[in-house]
Amino acid sequence: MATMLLALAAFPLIRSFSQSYEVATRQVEQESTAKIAEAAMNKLLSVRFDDLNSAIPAVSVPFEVETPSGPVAAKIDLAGAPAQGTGTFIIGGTTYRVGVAVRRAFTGHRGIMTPAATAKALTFSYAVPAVSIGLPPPPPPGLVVATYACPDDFLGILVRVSSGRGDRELRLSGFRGDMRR
Amino acid sequence: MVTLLLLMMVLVTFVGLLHFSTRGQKGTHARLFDQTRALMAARAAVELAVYKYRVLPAEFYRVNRLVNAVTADPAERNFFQAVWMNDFSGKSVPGGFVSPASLLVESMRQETGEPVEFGVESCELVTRKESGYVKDYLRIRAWGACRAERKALDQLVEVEITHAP
Repeated sequence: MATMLLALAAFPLIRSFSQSYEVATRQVEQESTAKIAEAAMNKLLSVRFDDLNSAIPAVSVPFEVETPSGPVAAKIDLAGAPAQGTGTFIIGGTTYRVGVAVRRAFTGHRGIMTPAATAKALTFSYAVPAVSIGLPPPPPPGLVVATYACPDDFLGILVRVSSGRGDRELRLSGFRGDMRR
Repeated sequence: MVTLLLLMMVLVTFVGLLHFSTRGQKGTHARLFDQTRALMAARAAVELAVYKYRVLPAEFYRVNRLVNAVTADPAERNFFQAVWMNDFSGKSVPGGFVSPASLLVESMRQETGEPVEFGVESCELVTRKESGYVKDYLRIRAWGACRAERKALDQLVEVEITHAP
């Protein structure tokens, strides 16, 4: 009787062990996925703006990720305008694929101030005091809202990272403005 | 017999602990990804706020002067500040104004398929006077969220160094 009860208790133990191992492995892989995606995005937010906006000729962006067993280096090859790219990481025998897709979230008007060009540009608003037009007496004081359409592109960056086991893909989205002006 | 029964009880307890621990771990996966998305959303908000300052520095300083002016009309001060901050609102603004931030939030949601949000709580000038020079910083408090996860970023960006006479 006792042996039977012991056997009944041992069966779920085997299942729980395998489940727990599976979950722990998946957790490590998902943590690595998140770390790689963040590292890739951080790197892309710090490279030259032109490498993202127009990677012609192709650009190779090196970066590395710290793991418990030491730093792992890889690179993302970017090409196109705006840039598209891929890279591969191998950590602990697991392959992580990195995909990068840059797009123009807003297209700069580049000095061509037509309604069509400015409609696609990133437009900011700010308040200005109303300008007095005409001869005195001036109009009553008031405030108006002015807008400014940016001449440069404002980029959207999509980083996708998936592991070799075909787990859920992590997609991170970020933005990059041209800060040189 | 008693030993076997005791062993069985120990095993059952162990299995129970392992089972519930595994269930608890499963929940952390989704949270980890949501935390990462929330952090990236907050960074996107900071990028937008810094970029607006970079393209409209004179207007930013004008808003800042007015906000800090002792004699400023409170209604006028609030209006200047609200117009500046409306561009960073990821949600709809009264009056049908579609902010750049809301367009970016929408594009983030489409790209990732996740309910991300972001916004900027404050964007102000911090001036520090040291002996012989004055430093200006742009202090941005931004947040990003994905489902129940929310991340806040407080970033200090050095924007100008002017030498005192």
